[in-house]
Order: sequence, then structure tokens, then C-alpha cells
Amino acid sequence: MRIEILYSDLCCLYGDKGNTMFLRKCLPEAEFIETPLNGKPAFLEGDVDVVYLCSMSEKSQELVLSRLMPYRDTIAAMAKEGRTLFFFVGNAYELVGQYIQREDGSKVDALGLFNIYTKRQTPNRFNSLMKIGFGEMTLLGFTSRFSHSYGLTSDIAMGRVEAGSGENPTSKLEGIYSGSVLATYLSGPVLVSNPHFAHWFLRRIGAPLDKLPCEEILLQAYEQRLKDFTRDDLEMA
Amino acid sequence: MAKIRFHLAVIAAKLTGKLIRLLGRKGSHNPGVVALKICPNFMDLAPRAKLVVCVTGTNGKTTVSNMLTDALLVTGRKVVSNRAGSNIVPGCVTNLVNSLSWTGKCAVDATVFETDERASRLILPHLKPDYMIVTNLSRDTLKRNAHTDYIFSVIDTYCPETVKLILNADCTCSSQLRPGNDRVFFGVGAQPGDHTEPYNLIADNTLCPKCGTKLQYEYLRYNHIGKVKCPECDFASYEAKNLATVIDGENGTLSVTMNGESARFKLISEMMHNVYNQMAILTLLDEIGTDKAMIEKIFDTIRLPDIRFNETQVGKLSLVMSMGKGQNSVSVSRNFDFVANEPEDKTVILDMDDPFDRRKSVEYMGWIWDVEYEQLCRDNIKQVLITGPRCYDHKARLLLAGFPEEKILCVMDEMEAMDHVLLEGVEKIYLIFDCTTLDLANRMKAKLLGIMEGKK
Ligand SMILES: [Zn+2]
Repeated sequence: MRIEILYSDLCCLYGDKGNTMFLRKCLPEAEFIETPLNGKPAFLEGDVDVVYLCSMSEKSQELVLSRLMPYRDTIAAMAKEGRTLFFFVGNAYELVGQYIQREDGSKVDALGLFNIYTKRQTPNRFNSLMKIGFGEMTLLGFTSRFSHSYGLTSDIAMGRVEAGSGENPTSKLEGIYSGSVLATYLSGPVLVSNPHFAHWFLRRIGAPLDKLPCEEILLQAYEQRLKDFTRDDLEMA
Repeated sequence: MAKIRFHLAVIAAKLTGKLIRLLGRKGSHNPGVVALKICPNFMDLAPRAKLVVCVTGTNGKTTVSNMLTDALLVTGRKVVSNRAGSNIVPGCVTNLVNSLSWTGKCAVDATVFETDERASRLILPHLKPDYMIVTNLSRDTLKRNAHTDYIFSVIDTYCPETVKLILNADCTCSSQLRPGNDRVFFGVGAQPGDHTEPYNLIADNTLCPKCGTKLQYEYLRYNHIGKVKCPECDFASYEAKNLATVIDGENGTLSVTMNGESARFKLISEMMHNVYNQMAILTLLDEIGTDKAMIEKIFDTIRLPDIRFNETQVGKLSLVMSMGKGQNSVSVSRNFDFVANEPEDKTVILDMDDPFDRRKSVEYMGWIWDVEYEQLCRDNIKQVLITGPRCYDHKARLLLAGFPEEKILCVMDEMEAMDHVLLEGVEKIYLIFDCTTLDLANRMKAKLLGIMEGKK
């Protein structure tokens, strides 16, 4: 098992390291590769099971795109099928769309793997709790961002919004799960905060576990959050 | 008309302040609200003090503005500051009101404004301070502060070009602010025990801002704070005009190089982040022409505000209150680092739950995965007692850090938790609390002290 963490110096803003910290415990035999901004991604040579990319600043998004765009065709081919799962968390989600529109109207080309696009709105920060149905599971989390995305369709969507926001405040869809891409606007440690999802994820990458590290307390924390999510006076933002 | 509005605003705001204080509250926010309601451009119209200083930055701005206010008082100046209250627009306007007489004339020699980084865009262009100290920039709450690129761009965009900046040469982020302005840098030179590679869980701004290469550290203190150069291009840290050279904790002295000459002062605190805070104050004092004898007198006089950190001894036990900033992983990690490195056997109580989120929301628990819980994995920590609705999330993080489960206790209700504090076999109890839970933390403290008295 080889897991590549792309640009971990820049992309780790909101506790996203929790995911890889947890995967290291789940998969002690796995090899973790941290690719620096000026390095060549390992997945281009094949033989990588997961490519992990997570939250970054808007400036960093453009730096990251400048490094990945030369490999856009290869990434597009790998995203359709194959062994490598592209696991994008937080606003890394926006990189798989057609473009990101800056506040001044200018556009930055993105990887173009799917027909979604993003509009930034800095300094308007958008915060929302997220309760997302994914298959049989309910994912709990949060999004905090300066942008919204548009154009997501149900055939490629990862989940349905049960409460809170989707790719934009009026959308009922959230994230992308299609081919070899799993991308979500959920911020941070989505695996640790959703133990059912962690089990699903490990099965998906071919490394199922009977029991997660600290599974009881992860479930207890999840249940407590689920309870708090169902309170009557809950405010999403 | 504008003048009449301004004068009305001064009187109404002052009356509001008086009324609120009569009711026994601080009144650091409402007078400002009233002034702005009557006179929206109050900040532009108010007469300025001879010296106007803003203090901002992610960590240390409260400490620095507190101590700087005391320092300026020692020099004999009449000073007002918003240290007791709000650091956003209304708080700063209240401070301005407090600097004026009833007739709207400036009645002080200096005004010190602790300024929220994000709100600085609404404050700096109007206050146009003579100096602005930026202590450092590092990650903070995701909801409000987003990330350092954002906060940097806010300050960089809205800081007027006339402001002289006092910057931390060792902060690879904030040291890059406003290259066109007059700037002066402070720093802390190489120390025993320095690192040369990032070792903290969180180290932002470790890539060269020019070419993206990983920076090389001549010395690294914590997170991204240290002296750097780029191995690929000409980017490097600025040289500090005022540099701490020897931090002598044993004798309580701080040796510095100031303008190329050496000097020695009383050390306010051994904690490294406070050495930076002291250097920031020293640099401001130097900039405004304070002589060495006066600076000596100042550092002999001023002390750390005890709201951040205080200790109460009961018999052989002592209770230490240590304030952190919830949802700010760097601040909490620094706190953990300090507590963990204290030599005694101890109990650690965590009261980090966000009081605003718990009212009608569910706190985002992602930030705790950026906190160095690994620091707490020491034999001399005999119990970690975790409180608040997110206690299980904290416990999961602590377990994955490798802390033994049998030493962890979760009690959601903070007051009830005080009945379960391990008092036997320890010398100190640390209560680490979020700054917005001060009232609750004080109630916890009172209850716990009662229990400790009973067991004496
Ligand atoms: Zn460089």
C-alpha cells in the first residue's frame, strides 16, 4: 500500500493531517510519500494507491494548479479508472472542476475532470455544519470557505445534503464520487470523525480492517456529535 | 454638521460608559457602538494623541498591548488602551472616546490599540497609527481567520503607507508585510536547544515565498518561527535591529543587542514567546527615543498580565490557571508544551470548549487534530481530565497521540468534573482554559480550590 500526500507543507490547513495520522495507525505497513511543492508527484509513475490532497489557501490553490496542470491529461485518464484513488478534502474539491473564478472575474483553469466550476467571494467567509448522506452512512462535518461551486449533478455526486450546505448554499448535492475520484467539501479529519466512513474508505482501497484503532471512542464521539446535530435549535452557520 | 455629530457622539458615548460602569460592567464595547451610531466617521474625526500605537498579530497581542501600556505609564505618559475589552471596531472606538475630554479634545499622551487582525481593515485606515507592532502570524480559528494568507493580505492591503511597522524578523510570514513602509525588526538570536528542521505538527510558511522551495533554518524555535534562508534563491530573513542574545532564566536577565550596542535588562518571562513579546516592546520604546535607564526601569516594573497565567497554592498542592485560545492550535500547543515541560507530577484539566458554538451549534473538532497532544505523553502527567461536549473527540486525539487510556477521564459537565480531579500523588494541577470561558474557568477554579482546602 502506497499513499501519497500531495504538498503537505501547504495543504493541511484545518486538521486535515488527522486523516493521514489516522491512516498511518490503520495501515502500519503502508508507505507514505510526502511530495513537496517543487517535487514531481509519485503517482505519475504509477504504483500509488491513494493520492491525498486537502485544504489550502486560495493562493496555494493556484500554486498547486500550476504544478499539476502539466499532468492534466495523465490525471484525467487515471481519474476515470484504475487503482489510484484521488482523495480530495476541503477546497481541494474545487481543483477537479473546470475553473475557479476569482473575485475580480478572472479565471484560473483547473484540472477539468468534471463539469463543475467555482466562484470565490473573499472576504465573505462561508461557514456551515454539514450532515451528508452517503450510501447507508451519515457523514458529519463542517465547511469553512471563501467560495462556492456549481454544476454538480447527481450521477457523480458523493452525497445528499441532509442538513447544512452542499457545494453551494442552495444545492442538495455534495462532493464527487466517480471513477477514481472521491472529493468532498467537508473540512479536515473526515475519516476520524466518521468511523463508518473510515471503514468504507479502507475497504475501497483494498485494506479492510475488522476494527479501527480507538474504534470505541471514535464511535462515542461520533454519536455525541450526531446527537448534537439533531437538537431543535441547531444553527447551521 | 460633522463637528456637531462628533461632539454629540463623544458626550453620548461617555455617558453610556458611565452608565454601564454604574451597572458594574466593563463597558468596553457599547460606548463605541453609540459613538459610531451618531458619528460613523468618528475614528477619522477624533483628535490624535501624540503617540498612537496599534498592536496586532495572531498570538501575543494582548500581552504586548497590556505590557506596552504599563511601560508607557512608567515613562510618565498619560495612556489609554483597550486592554480590558474588545479589540474590534467598537472596542477601539471606545478607547478613542476614553482618550478624549468631554469637549472632544485629546486628553492623553498616548493611545494603545490592541487590534484584531481581521478587523484591522476597518481600523487601520482610520486610526492611521504612528506605529504598528505585529507580533507574528500563524494559523488561528478557521471560521473567522481562515488562514495566514488571508490575514496577511488584510493587513498588507489596509495598513496605511505612513505607519512604521515593528515586525518579528523570525516570523517568515508577518516579516514580509508592507515592504514599502518604514519597518524595524526585532528577533531572538540563536539559543541553546534551537532546532534546524520544523518539528511541530503545524509549521506554516516554511516554503520560500519567491520560489516555493523548502526554506533552510539557521535556527528554528517553534512552528515556523526562526531564521531562514532559501537554498535556491536570495530570499532570507531580515536582520533584526534589536536582537535578544542571551536569555538567562537563572539570573532573570535578558541580554540584547540594540542598534549594534549591547545592553542587559530584567527578563520578564523565560517562556520563549514572551521573550519575543518583550523584544517587541523594547523595540517600540527604542523607536520613540526612550533612553536605556528608563527602559531598565520599565522592565524592572512591568510584569505579565496575570489573567493569562496565575497560580494558587493550597497546602502542598498548587492550582495553575493557564489561558489558551480555543480553536487556535498553535496557542494551545504552546500551552501544552509549557505544561508538559514543567518538572512536577501533575493533573491536567482541559476546558477548551467553545461557549458560542455550544449554544446552538456543534464545534468543529478538526482543529484539535492540529494540536500537539503528543506533548502530553509524559509519565509525570498522572491524569488528563477532559470536559465539555467535545470531550470524546479530544480523548480520541489524545489516544491516537499514544497517551494511556487509563489516565484519561471524560466528564462533560465542567463543574461536575471538578469532583473527579486527581489530587493525590501530584504536586500541581493545571487548568487549561479557552479565553472565552474565563467566567466558567473561574467558577471551576473556585470549586476546585474549595475541594483542595477540604483535603488540606
Ligand atoms: Zn527561494
